[in-house]
Amino acid sequence: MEQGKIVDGFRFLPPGLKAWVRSFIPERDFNGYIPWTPLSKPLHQITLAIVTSAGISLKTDPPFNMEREKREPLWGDRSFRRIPKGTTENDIDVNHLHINTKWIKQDINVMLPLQRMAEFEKEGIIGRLAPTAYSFYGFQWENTDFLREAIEPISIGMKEEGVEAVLLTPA
Amino acid sequence: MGIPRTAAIEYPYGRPVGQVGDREGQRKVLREALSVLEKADNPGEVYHLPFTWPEEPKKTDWQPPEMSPLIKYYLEDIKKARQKVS
Repeated sequence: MEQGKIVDGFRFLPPGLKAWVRSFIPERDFNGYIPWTPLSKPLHQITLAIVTSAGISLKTDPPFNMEREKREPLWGDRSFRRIPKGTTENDIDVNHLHINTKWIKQDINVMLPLQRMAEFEKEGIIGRLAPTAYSFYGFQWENTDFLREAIEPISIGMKEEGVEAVLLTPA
Repeated sequence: MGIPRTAAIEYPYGRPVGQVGDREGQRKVLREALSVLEKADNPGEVYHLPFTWPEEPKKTDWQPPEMSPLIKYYLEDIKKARQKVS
């Protein structure tokens, strides 16, 4: 624990990659539209869903498409997967060409913390963990097709399950 | 479009919640991240979580076993960006 710490978002990038990424991120603060819904009740009463962009899929589902991305380096799979509560690392496959996926395969909670959130639900730290978590593939550029094909059905599913807050863990 | 609330953490890519098998560490990170839901009053607020990864960046083994198609595609640009800052 380090009080007053300012997170360096580039710390884990090698120098070349860091310089390259910095070259297309503006120095100024973001001043565009930011959606906002105030939290309607205390944490211990809310229904929470978790979402990750790490390319996690169930072994019983088709994996995210890596082969096309290898042929088309600027393309990323726009589909999504439902991951039910209770899913463990034994039930999943992970496909992502930009990270080492081995850690998630060893412990799903490092990315999609289903067991930890189930504990929080049991202990009354959160009101309820939604029955469904979601996973998509985070290599998306500004992409309205992705919003329509993945985010819209995900948000409909969340409304059906009474979700009031979401924790997104980016890969 | 911006992000409503951010809990920033200085952990390697692919393991934002913590280390494999570290239940207590993962719980601490998640408690802090969830507290942002209650603390944040305004769109776009960023909270910097006070955790430090125990390994040096080079030892974290977060990168894919094979260079990603994107990096291969832009490799010359990345080399040029590297030269500019060195």
